[in-house]
Amino acid sequence: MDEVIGAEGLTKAFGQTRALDGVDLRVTRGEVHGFLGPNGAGKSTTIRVLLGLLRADAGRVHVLGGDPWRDAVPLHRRLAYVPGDVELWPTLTGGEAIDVFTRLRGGVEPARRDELCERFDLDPTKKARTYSKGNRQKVAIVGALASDVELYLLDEPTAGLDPLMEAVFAEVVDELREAGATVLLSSHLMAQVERLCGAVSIIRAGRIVETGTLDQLRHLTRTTISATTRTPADGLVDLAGVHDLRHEDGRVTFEVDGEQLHTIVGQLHARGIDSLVSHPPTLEQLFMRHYERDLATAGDGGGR
Amino acid sequence: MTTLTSADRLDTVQPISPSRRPAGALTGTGTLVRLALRRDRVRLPAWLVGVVGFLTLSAVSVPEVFPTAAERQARGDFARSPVLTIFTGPGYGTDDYTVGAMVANEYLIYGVVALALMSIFLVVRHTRAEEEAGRVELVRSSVVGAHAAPTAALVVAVGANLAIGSATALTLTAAMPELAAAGAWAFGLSMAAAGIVFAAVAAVTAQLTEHSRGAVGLAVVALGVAFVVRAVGDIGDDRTLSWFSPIGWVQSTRPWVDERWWPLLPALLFALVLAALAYVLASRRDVAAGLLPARPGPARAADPLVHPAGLALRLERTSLGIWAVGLFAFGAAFGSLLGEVEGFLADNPQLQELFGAAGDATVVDAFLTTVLLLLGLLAGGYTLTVTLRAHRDERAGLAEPLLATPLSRVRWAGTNLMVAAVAGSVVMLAAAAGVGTTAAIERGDITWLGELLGAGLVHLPALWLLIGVGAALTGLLPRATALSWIVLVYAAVVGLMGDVLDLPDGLRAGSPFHHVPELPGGEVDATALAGLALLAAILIGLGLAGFRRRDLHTT
Repeated sequence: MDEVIGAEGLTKAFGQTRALDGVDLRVTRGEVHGFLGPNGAGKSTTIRVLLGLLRADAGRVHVLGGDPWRDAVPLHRRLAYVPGDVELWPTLTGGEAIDVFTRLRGGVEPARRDELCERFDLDPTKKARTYSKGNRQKVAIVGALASDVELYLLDEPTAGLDPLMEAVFAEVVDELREAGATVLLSSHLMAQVERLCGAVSIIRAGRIVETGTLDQLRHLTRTTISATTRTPADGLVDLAGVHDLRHEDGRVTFEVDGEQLHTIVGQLHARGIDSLVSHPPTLEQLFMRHYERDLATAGDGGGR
Repeated sequence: MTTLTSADRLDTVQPISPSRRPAGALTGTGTLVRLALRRDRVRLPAWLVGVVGFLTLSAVSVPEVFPTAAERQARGDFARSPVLTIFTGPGYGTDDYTVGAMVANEYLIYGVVALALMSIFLVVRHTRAEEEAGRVELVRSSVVGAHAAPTAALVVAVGANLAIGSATALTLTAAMPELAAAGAWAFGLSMAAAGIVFAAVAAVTAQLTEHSRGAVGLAVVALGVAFVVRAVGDIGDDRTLSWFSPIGWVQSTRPWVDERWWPLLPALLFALVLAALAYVLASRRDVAAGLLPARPGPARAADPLVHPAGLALRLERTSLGIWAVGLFAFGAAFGSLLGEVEGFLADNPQLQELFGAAGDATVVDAFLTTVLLLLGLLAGGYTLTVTLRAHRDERAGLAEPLLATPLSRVRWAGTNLMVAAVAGSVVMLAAAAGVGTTAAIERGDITWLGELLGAGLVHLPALWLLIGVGAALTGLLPRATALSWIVLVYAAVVGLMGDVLDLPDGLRAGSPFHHVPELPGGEVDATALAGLALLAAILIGLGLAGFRRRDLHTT
């Protein structure tokens, strides 16, 4: 397996704050890897370690076969980066800023750059100080995605983009994957990661709490089932593996653990199924499960 | 949940007249004043302690350094010479140079410049810098009048100036019984009045530019012009020209000589007019906008821009142009005084002894050396701001995307330091060329231009050392980069006040400019210059090595 990013036990502290607390991250060549976590979980810090902008206190890390701290310059020829918070020189135009980034990386085809400007509806003749947050973000996206490199590190790239532009962004990421590039996409938007990523790592409080392909993760968690049955579906709530059961207008809706799916559908079948809707777990649910523990412990303080 | 009946709504909703500012443009000023005081609770007391402490210690040292009336009188005769007049005052009381007359003539200018700078920084910090950071939007969206922010900044500035002026007056009378209270208050209030004028100047410049750095720069240029106008006026035969400078006004109160209060009036009137102008300008623009509209620029970067040096130069080019032209003009103003300086000794036979056998030539050389030192300190300030650009860009998050490209940290930071060295040299040589050009015209002798360029050239190693200090702090102690300004302030104290404070040589050696040969006329000590250059190189090396090893600042 060709590993483009490999990190083991990364720790990083800023004063008293422990930003990374043993991060393990593996990204394989050719995959679009979702990097999910809430604000402050350590996504940006991890990416900055991968870029050699920060040095990890402990742990091992390699990117494209090199040490990101020691080999920063040669590695940066082979990757492109979109920061989460894009700041630009106020007196330069967006087009000038794009050229500065791309040509430092070795140059791009002007046609590719212009095509991306057009697709993202970006006016490159405006001074950066007149840009909104979304437009500054577009400058960084065009500057990074126009480059023909092996690895793209994207730190919440669509924060500040409208849904139309998010769709354009998704198209471009699909094209990059088809062309064989590897992408690490950090996000807190479940829908975006579900749409774009084949593999996901979930980070919480400086630790990776779950990693794998989307299918593997789904298998570990719950499927949502909504059904109407001929005889009332009463006894279900006592069965192992059933959660969050609600009755509404004769319809029963609940979540079921992956390994119990077979048994529960059998139970529904015994009651006579009129209609059945089942959908795989959303990342939202995946994600929330990992926070249930936090919510439970926070319960006595700020619980509802 | 509450519900409004339609009758309620009719009562509570006021029609908004778009043509006029609704009443209450100052609503919320009180809250903003408290916010400003909270944010500046360390800064303002630091300015108070710094300014009052510096002035008091300097004043107390006068009777120690000049214990007898004869010694003071000799200093008074010298104080009338252009060599001292450039950076002191109009010379009231020099024919009976008492301790008070000396304190007023030689130290008031430092209080004036310090409070002017404090006021400029303060007003811009609470107006344009807030708009630039986008925080004003949040503030203005709440119940806050359109003019509340500038008013709050001016209220805090006026309060700070009066507080520091009064504290200076009280401390001086307490520390030195020989200084009468009336003179002390004239001294303190003159400082405060100058500070208030420049607070109003900054309120206007904050309306003109979109960037706080530009607003500070314009206001500092105004301070520089006021300084030169009074210097040229004071050196001249009558002080006519000095009456065109706010600094000239407040220096005309004659503390401890023959106090008069009316010169403070034009200062206060001028401040009021400027403040009114600032309000008019503010009403004519949108939040966060400047008065000059943004124009479209090139869609593609020109070739030099994508080189790191090209990028750094491009970002500096406006301020470099302004500084080069400004210091050339500043220098030219002083060079044009050469004729008057020359005639000075003929009119003051008692000073001929002081300057020795060489007479005229020595006075002219001493004058030019002083001018070059002043210009060198200003060029040093500019050089430091360029040196610290890398640090500012890093803090602002501008370095992060650049250093994620194949641009190495050492190359980025090193290029930036090179640009600082080039820009600093250009500004220093422009200043020297300014002096040289008018000196050559005044004397009808072109060799003066060469002499003065040489005098400018020997200042460059001192500027490099400043770059070294900034680079070392950026690389090794990024939180303490502001400390590099202390080196410049120290150099100013040593250079401008070393004699009157009678500082020992050991202390003076701490100033980079102390090792600069006193040209024209003096000996060139190549070893000292090489030493400065070597120390600068070592500091730059340490700074770059540190920058390569440490974490980048991230938000």
